[in-house]
Amino acid sequence: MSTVKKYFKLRGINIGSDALHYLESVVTDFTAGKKRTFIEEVASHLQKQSEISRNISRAEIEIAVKEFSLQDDVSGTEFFWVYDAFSIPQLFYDVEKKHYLHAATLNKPPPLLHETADFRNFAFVERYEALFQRMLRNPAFTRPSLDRTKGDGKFTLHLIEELLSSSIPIHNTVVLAMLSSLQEPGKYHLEDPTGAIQLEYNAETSFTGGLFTENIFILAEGWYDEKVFHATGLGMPPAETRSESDKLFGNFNFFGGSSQVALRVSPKLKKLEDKYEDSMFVIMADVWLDRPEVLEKLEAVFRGLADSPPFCFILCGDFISETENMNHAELLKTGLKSLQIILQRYPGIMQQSQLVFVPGPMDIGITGILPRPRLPKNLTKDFEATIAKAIFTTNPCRIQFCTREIVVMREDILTKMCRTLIKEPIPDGRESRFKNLTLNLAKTILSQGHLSPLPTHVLPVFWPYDHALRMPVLPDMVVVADMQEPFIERSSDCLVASPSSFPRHKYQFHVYWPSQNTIELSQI
Amino acid sequence: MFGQRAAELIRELERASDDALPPYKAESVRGICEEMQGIFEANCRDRVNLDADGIEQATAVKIQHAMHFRDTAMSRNKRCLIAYHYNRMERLRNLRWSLGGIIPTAIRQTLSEKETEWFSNYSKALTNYMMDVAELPDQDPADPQDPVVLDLTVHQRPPKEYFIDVKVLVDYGNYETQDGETIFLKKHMRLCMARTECEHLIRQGILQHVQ
Repeated sequence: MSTVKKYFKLRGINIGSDALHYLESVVTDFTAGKKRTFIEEVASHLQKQSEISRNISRAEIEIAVKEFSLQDDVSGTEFFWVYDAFSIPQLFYDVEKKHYLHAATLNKPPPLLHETADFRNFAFVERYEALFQRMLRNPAFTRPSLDRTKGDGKFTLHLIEELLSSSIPIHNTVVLAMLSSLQEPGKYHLEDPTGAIQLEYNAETSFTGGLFTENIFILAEGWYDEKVFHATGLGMPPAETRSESDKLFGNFNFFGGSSQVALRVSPKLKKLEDKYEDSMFVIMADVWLDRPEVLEKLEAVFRGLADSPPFCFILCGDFISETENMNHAELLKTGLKSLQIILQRYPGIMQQSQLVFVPGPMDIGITGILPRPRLPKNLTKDFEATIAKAIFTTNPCRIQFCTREIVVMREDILTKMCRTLIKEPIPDGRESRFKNLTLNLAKTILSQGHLSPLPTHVLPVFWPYDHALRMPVLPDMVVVADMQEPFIERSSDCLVASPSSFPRHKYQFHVYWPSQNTIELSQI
Repeated sequence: MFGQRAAELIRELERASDDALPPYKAESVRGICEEMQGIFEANCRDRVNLDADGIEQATAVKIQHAMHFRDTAMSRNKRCLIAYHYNRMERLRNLRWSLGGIIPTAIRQTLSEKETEWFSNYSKALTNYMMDVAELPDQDPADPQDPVVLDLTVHQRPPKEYFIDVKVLVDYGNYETQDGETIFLKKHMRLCMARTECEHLIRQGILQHVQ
């Protein structure tokens, strides 16, 4: 019996004969010492998997081997992935186990695009559940175990049901609820899965830390009396930084892809990241391919970067300026053709840089509803055939580069949120009103853990795919390409950036260095 | 009340049957740690009060008693936490001996991250021990391909016969025996196998021993 087989038997792992032969073929050339450590590591990796069959199959062993075989030699490893919105795993929070579970674990089939109206409720309830659990583990709400009279700035979180069942006024209470307008415009209700109560607020009520629109989840502080909640303060549920979430969920893969373990903790990818520390991403939006002046500027960017091609270009839509034009499809096809001709002049960029195309709200196809599918294949197939590194993806999409996680969305979210604000955010000493707005936008998105915390009539979402917009734990960067001025904000250890519209705002764009997680504004 | 949550934690583990592993109560554990932190801070404050000038003898005694009480509560909390983790660890260790190196998904989800890591490390240490313990001094060094090993997890009860009749309970697929032969295990099959070969499969519920 071979050493490998013996080792696995002693380790208590049943391994299929196929898998065994494969593993043996991998380790044949290794020296005895290296063989032993390698087998040990593969076995440890298998034991840490959350879902693994009793009889290890060849596919499972291949994944484990991939993780360790090239530990020292990192070349040839894949380290760049683009996940489209429809492939993002749906997660359910298990209250009993205090952990998220993949839909696949629960044997739930992927949802259809158009499900029943129940899914609208599910979408909101699931958003609520995720936030509620986050609040419960927030130090501000954990039950004080000593000297309850003092409280030390601790709050008790109540459910709406608990308030409604009380016959006496309740003072100093906090609820987590969705702000919704149920009866008449201008009157708001607090709604959670257990019920709804009317919200009263006045000039003295403080609004903190975000943009307050309908359908966002807020923490309301105040007192309750006679079916009315009198708010003294309304705030966003505080976001949780990545390092805090990691303590609870470990290496669970929230982001996407086939790996069981989150790639962001992979030591191998970390090593690769250090190796590619100079690699950069160029992010621009509104790349109008039908306008000669835009193409000219784009070529200028390519020319400037020709000697040191960036790792990736994230090009966001709309790709056509005249969206009302009847020949939209034709224009897009010609536009891509012109881009192709330009690219062919810069072989360095053509061969080395990834090109990620994220469609905009007015691009051809299903418009105005998220997540939005990729550009139609029949228009892009010529381009894809010539430019091998072009990736046409959905809006929003997720990008994994080594250990960095980036979420990209092309949507005029700031504009839309400002239009539906129920109260303008209080200036907080930032130099301009716009800066104040963008900071609050960043805080809102991160604390809601959702890319579009807007009412569904302002920004519709395919209900069964609402999870594609959720971020139960925060990524390293969120790109919300908004047509307003460019901005870069950092909140809760997460970057929120908008490169703004390339042609509309003096040809400005963003350059991102994943290894340092820094981003800068550039202009051509 | 001091120590209430800690006692509850222990009670919950006790209520579950002997081998079961209920979900890890990260929240309670954190709550208890916070309580201990609170107790510790209160004691620190009182220690300073005790040193203050002009403190009355009667007050000092009161403070000392309170401090002693809190200290006892803190030790009790600590003991409960240690007992909780130790008992879970023991159950986890039993899993390694009864079910082998792969924890079923249902149980895996009830473990904390640290526990999974511990399981993997324990398994590794045990395997290394079993690999090394039987390395006889007079073993042929020219043939490292076939080291003698001692599998401690088999024969946990003294065997009566070398070969036993077994029934296959699940569709398992190909299983390779120690001498390299492959058997296809299909549900409802009846086989006569070497005991060492199938003992771990019996414990995992794949085979059933037919008397």
